[in-house]
Amino acid sequence: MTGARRLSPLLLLALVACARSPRADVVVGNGPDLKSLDPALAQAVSDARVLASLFEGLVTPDPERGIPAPGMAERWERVGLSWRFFLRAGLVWSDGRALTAEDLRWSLLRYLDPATGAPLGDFLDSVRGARAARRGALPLSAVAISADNATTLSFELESNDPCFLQQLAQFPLYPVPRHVVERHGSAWTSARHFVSNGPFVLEERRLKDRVRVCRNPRWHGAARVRSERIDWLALSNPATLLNLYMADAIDISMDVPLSSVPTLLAHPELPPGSELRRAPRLAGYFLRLNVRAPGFEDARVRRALSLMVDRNELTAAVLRGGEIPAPDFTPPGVHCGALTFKGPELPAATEEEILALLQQGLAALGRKELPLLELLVSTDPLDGVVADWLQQRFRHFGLAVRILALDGQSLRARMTSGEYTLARSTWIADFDDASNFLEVFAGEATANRTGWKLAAYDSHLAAARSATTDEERALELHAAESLLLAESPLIPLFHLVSRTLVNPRVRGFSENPLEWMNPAHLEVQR
Amino acid sequence: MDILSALFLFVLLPVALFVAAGRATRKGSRRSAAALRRVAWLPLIVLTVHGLAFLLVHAVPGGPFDAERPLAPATRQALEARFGLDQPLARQWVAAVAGLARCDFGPSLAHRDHSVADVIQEGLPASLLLGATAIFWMLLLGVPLGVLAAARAGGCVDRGLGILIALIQALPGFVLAALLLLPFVLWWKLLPAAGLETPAALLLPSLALGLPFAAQVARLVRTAMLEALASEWPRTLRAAGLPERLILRSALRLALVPVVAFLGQAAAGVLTGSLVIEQMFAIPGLGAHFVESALNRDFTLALGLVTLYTAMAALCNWAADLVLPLLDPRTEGT
Repeated sequence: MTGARRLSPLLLLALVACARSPRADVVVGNGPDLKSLDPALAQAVSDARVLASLFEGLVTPDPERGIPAPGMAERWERVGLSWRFFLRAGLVWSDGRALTAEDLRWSLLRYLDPATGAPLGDFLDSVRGARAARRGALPLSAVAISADNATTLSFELESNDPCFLQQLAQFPLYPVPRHVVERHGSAWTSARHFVSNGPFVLEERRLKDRVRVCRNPRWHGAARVRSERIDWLALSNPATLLNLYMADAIDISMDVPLSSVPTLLAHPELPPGSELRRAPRLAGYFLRLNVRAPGFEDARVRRALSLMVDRNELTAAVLRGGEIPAPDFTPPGVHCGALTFKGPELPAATEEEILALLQQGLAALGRKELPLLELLVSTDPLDGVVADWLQQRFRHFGLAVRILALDGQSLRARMTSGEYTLARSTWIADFDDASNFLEVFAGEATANRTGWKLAAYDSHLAAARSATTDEERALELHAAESLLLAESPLIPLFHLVSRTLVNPRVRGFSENPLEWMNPAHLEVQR
Repeated sequence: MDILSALFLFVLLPVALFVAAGRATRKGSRRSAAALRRVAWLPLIVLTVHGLAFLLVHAVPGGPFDAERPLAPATRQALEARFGLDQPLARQWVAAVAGLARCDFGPSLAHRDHSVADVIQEGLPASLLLGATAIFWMLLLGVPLGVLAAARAGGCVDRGLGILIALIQALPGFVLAALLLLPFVLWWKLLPAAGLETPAALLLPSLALGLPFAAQVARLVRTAMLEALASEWPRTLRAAGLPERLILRSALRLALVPVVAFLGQAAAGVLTGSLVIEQMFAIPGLGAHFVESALNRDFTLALGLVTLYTAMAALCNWAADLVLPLLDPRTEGT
């Protein structure tokens, strides 16, 4: 009895910690823990998947067709710079309260409010007044979003935006329930108060563990939802994901350790009854070059460095994870409206030509050689592999490189303040359009961070924004990318691929470049 | 009001306790004096570590709102104002100490839906359970193995155990975890791969976490046992005809002194060193938060966790100091 008493605190602890919940219909090993259940505050691709199960936007991404599909809005019309969206009749929040166009307007203005702190805050920048409002220069009431009646929402754009619909489909713009947010403040995302408008509602959320959602009977398409419950497991370690997949504890693993890829490819029978699925992502891995750094002021020097990289060797012999060599910044298969965009590529060059280009650039700067180059990378193992290979590669051309591995925040801080020479970077597209890549290096873009600014480049981007046809826009974007590669404020290295393990019993999952999935379609046939 | 409670906790209380300890010493009560002094040091240790952690997290470059896509300046300003990061560092420290006095570390800067208290409340049970079970394995395996090695000192068993102990101590946590995962989870499918949903799921992670500490305890026990057995009293007892079992038991009592002293350090070690194990076994504990809060510059969460761990380690040491005189009266009042 005494022993049992002594053990009781431990048993109590075990009961609390081992709170067991039955397996959900679909279990997804989703990646890092959700940053927030508030769509405006979420950030990662993995966040987007969870939020897409809880919320529905005005329009919905349709990665298979490349253009957004109806969401809350059943149809829309465009007259010049005006867009009008007509909501479905009878939309309600998961608590039964009616969801009106005014709710949506309030929600979008909240997203723009600097006080909300939306990390991806620029999706409405083409709406008149929106950019100024999110910079605090205009009141939110001046933003040209209006609720004409309970089911009609209108936007007035400042200028033509060919990607307006794709941006409206982004998860930070999902509506949030004003009546709950105003009542509970930031606590509205707790499971006790949470209200959403999507195919599922929040059942449980455990930090570093899972978000469990269950079917929302009040959603307009509830009859089409194929699973009662989905568990989104917060697992950032790919090795753990693989273990869980092999032990049949998860149905979909959204990542696989890079080091396991060759083994899994050689032995497709290893994961039970499934095989590794790889698909190109709309995401690039590249180096930023600080054009203010000594020796990098001349474009020829930068371009010579970019030409030194043998991307095929890097992807085929070093990484071996299926990454696609990137002699360009826009990935293969990316769209420009309805067109598939085929951008320019860096030309092939012999070693002599590369060295001659480097010497010309250095001579123009009055230099004989480049100083020691410092390459900033993160502590991610992939970065280490890439950095070691680059160091060897540049050494082959007589350039000395020192690698400095920093944690993510230090790396970003150094890039933002311009205290770097070369820095490893990634860009993950929000939507399938070449402009989503090329706008990164616009002179005024906060994401640029290279110090590079070229009026001709910016004017091509501006011309693309105001182009009336996809062909015209593609031409402008092509010209812009040609300038980008010639000026080389970046060294593109490779395009990322998704590596997913999907149990063959899973239905409704298809890999796509945005790593998006429609949770309402997911089911596991047991 | 917050400042007053901070003044009370970190200035008045320790001073009062030190004064009381001085009086107890004058009255000849060494034991009470030592206990009072140790209690007085607790808030001072916590405050000092909290202050150092505050300086360190603010000294490193980068902030909680740095991301691959930089924030718009107005958004950054609004966020910094909301979380008080736009204030001078001294004022931020005063606010942090005031929060510390009432155990309120504010909102987490990275987990935007949670306060630091929420994070601790959600993660602590799993971490404590994992840690307590690891300590359980540490004692259950470490002490008998140490006794066995000492009893067979110089023999094959001792040498074999020595090699095993060295091997376990040399292996990094993730290798040890993988060595346990492969047979029990992936080959024989006897145990769950991850999580804490069943008691069986606790077995592998707690073993992976506890084994290196068990190896260390086995070393400590072996050394202390040999030292005790080499002194004069066992010879006297043997000469008096006492059975070897009783002599070993007496030696073990002395050998447990360094083990108990090690408990505080081990408790801190299992709590802070559980990151790899928690990640590999997908255990939603505080280990990952501890490291990520520093990497994400989640100042409030980092401070909260450092303070929590400091307080727990200090309490464990304090408890060990209370237990030690029971095992070896010579340690009383030291």
